[in-house]
Amino acid sequence: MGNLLETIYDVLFNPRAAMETIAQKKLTGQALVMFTVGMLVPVWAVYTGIKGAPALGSMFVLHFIGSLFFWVVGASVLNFVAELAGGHGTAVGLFAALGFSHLPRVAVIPLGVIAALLPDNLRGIAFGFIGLLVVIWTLSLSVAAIRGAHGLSGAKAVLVLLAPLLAIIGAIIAAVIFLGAALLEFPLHF
Amino acid sequence: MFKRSVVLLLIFIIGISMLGALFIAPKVKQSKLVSHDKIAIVYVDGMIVGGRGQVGLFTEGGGTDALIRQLHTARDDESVKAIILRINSPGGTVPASQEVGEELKKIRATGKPVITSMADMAASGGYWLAACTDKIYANPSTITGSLGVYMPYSNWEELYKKIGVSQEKIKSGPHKDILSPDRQLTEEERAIIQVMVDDMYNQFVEVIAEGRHLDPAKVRELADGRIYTGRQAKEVGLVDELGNMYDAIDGAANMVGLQGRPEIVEYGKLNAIEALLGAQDTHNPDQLILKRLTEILSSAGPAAVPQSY
Repeated sequence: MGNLLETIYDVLFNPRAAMETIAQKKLTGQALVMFTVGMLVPVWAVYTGIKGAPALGSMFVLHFIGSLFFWVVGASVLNFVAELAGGHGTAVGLFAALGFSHLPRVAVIPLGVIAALLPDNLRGIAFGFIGLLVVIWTLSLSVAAIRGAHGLSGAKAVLVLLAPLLAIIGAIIAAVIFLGAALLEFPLHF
Repeated sequence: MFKRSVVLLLIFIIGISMLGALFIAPKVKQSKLVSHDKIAIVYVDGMIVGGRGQVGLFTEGGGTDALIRQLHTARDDESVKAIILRINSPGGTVPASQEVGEELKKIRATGKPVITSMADMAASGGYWLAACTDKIYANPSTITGSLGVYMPYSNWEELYKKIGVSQEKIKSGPHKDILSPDRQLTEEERAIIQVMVDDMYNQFVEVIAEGRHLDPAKVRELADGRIYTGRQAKEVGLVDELGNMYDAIDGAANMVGLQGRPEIVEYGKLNAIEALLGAQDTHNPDQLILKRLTEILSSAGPAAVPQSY
């Protein structure tokens, strides 16, 4: 527990060095705890924000399994891309470091409570700002995780993080072009 | 020790926040979850034809089936307080217009008002729909009217003779090939068609008289097939107000007592998949007319049906 608290402190205030340590020591157990907490807190926000949220338990389990899947798959893909980019880390190390990138999710509750106290006209903006903040923070921790785990530069780490997204966008554009060309003249009327 | 203390403090703050959320969040959720009252806009564009229109791989549209589904969606949405029927149509078939018109009456019977906003044109079948709504808005220069019914018939007998085409038919009855373009209508057949047209016309007159609260005799005077501008139509009682769609929206909001600027929800807009897969054809009157023409004439004179124009 003591070690986890110290790791969290380091991730908060010195993320790059913390991520390097996490990856080297392969702190997967701590990462799993962080990941679980990062799942539970937003679910609590949903529970309190939506009266009688339907099937909260099932929602949490689905959210947990889905996020776990993306964590595992994401770590594998990013590790592959990072190695292509010249990284020299391990998949398990990156997996552990990426687990700590879920930390910003716990900030949703205190910030959300503050936003809820604001006037109606500011509340929406505040919630949007919180969402943006959490996303940016999470992404920056992911970049720090890639840098720490694979010893890459900041620019390369950003490229590694964006590579899967760019590949998907490229694939969608190609699919739209080919589908559009193929189907627009296709006799669809029957 | 310092690091642990800082993180424990943050955990304490998060814990307090989680408790606080239980008391603060209800205020948020009530204002978030209350759906705003809306006004729905349903578009009637192009020819009014029955059925599913043109069906694509992932899309369907152009026929009255899709239009009626949109109306039902608006009817079933409790947050929709009134429906604007935005008509831009030269008309269509009588059964299709009637089908939609009857649905409009049913929706009005549920207490949800339907208001027409005429765009460039709302003639013939387009006016049939308008007559089934609570109030009609038209631009002063909108083309409306054309109140009447006709059944088109082309006689290509002489053309067929010239090009050496002759058709032979084995008929189950003397009138089975009525309106066939390869021969002249007989007087008896003409009378049959005239009775049909008169019957449809009478139904149209009844709809207008009932919907517009006009004397049927006066409707017959107006419904001689001529077209009217929006302003002329207002003078003779075929239109209630002159104004554009936004005037109609304001009018609808006033009718149902909505304060301020009403929230709008639109139905029938093309989505990305429809645009990609060519559903724009379903909103193209030329394509619809060509399709109808092909369907009507394909059995009688396939060689004479234009493939494109």
